[in-house]
Amino acid sequence: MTRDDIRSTLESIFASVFDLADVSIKDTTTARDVKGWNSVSHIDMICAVEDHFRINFSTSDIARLQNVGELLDIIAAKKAA
Amino acid sequence: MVQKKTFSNLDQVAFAQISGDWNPMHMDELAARRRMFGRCVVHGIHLGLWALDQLFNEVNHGRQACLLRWKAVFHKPVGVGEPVTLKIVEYNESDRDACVEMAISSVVGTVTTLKVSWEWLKSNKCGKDYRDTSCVGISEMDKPRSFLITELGEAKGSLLLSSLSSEVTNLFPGLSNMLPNEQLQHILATTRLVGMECPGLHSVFYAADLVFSAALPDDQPDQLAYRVTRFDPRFRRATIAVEASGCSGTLTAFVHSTQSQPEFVKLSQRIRPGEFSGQRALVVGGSRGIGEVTCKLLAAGGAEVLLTYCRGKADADVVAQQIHLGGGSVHVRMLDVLAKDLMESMPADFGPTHLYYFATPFIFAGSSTAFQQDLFQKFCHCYVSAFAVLVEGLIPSGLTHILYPSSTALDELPTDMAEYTAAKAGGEAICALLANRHSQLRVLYPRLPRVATDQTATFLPVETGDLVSVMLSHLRELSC
Repeated sequence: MTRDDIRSTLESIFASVFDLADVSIKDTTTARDVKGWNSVSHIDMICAVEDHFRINFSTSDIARLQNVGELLDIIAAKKAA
Repeated sequence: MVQKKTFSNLDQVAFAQISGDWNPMHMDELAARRRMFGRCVVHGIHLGLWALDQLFNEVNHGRQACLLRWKAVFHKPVGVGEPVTLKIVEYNESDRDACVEMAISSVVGTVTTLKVSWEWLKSNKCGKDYRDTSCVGISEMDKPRSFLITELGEAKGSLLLSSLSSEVTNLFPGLSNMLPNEQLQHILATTRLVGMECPGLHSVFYAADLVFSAALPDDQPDQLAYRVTRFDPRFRRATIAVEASGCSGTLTAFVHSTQSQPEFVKLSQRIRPGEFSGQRALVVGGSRGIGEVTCKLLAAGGAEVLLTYCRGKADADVVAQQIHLGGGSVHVRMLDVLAKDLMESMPADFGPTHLYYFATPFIFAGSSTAFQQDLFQKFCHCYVSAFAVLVEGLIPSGLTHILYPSSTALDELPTDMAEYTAAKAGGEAICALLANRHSQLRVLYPRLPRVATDQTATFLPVETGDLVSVMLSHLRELSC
């Protein structure tokens, strides 16, 4: 699964979780850039990502997430492991 | 359609009476101040039912309806007394059915979203009427259950649906006229389930997604069965499947973590005997959190402590009792720094040498979208003007040392903490000015990292510093 594949899937998950018609995300995208992305919906998003990719984030993974690029990196690393 | 409302304490009681959700987060101001939202908040289901009631008052035209789906998300809390605005985002209606998407917002942005669909009925044929049956009544004396976190993943059970009182008609006339009673009972039961049963006492209701169908004939009073299908301990988030005759769905709730500080005896082990002796320490806001730990550390080091509280007398008494039992010296006084006669409230027989200032309103009340002038003024009153008045008033009686903790939020500038950071920056400026004006004063105003207290509790895991280590280093620096 390429990084672009993961990004495309993430856009679908973001659209579903944040209840948006269309989402376009870059590595630098943060919660400030996406309507409806707050501390609680962030948890929904994390759970949805885990369910979809069948991976688990540790609490330290979650605590250090700063932007979409870092989320992509963690997903890619866990899928490759 | 745009509707506005400010929910009052009377509204809270009326809704608790019909729903049976008497969780202290909604009903007890003192208990609620120690919870995540820092004040009593409106039941999310109350917001949702109020919104749908407003719409139904407009569109029913004598018709009756049967809900097909109710999907509500309670994004942010609404405090009692805080105005909200309801907007219809989209409404579609045909001869057969209708659906609506609504958003409720407050000064902090969107707080609740609601998507509901229903079919129109020629007669009330889809529901049972429980008004004359033997459904369970609701008692104000009911106390919320408190599941152990370790048990939540396995939790299951059922609630008997409560009978609808005439108060339902008063509170939601549009819904009462238009919907079968049982559908209202099912929705009301979800808030009682989450607030009183599972997760119960420490719950925060986040979302409800209910699907309705025709009720099955049943001679027994109906009940709402529930089962926790997933509990994620990282976020303390429970997914709860619910099922009743004619209704099924999923609820999402969080479990608030209670934050207690270390016992006096345990803290005493980290203190050198007598290292704070000779201090007469006034700890403003010492009944909980950082102030509580400071009181214990100072008393353990031999200081004579005057602990003040604003509302938490019971909490302050518990802290004082611990210190007394451990052999420390502490007095307890009520002090409201926002009171007009602040200095008159100070005891004349306790001239403090040291002032530790932790007085604060609820910190996380801001928004990333709008600057709230009232909130800023409240912070300024507490962090700047009351502090300055207190210091100037205490200098003649021997005040020489001040610890005024600030926060690393002033370095990070979170977008939803503008009012707090601006006011706290003003407090830091006052500290510097006081030190310049009074050469005998030693004033420390360190920016503390995030530490675990009631005020900083979140659902997301965040790294926090060790409160005791952080405070001990500053207390020792001030006492040098």
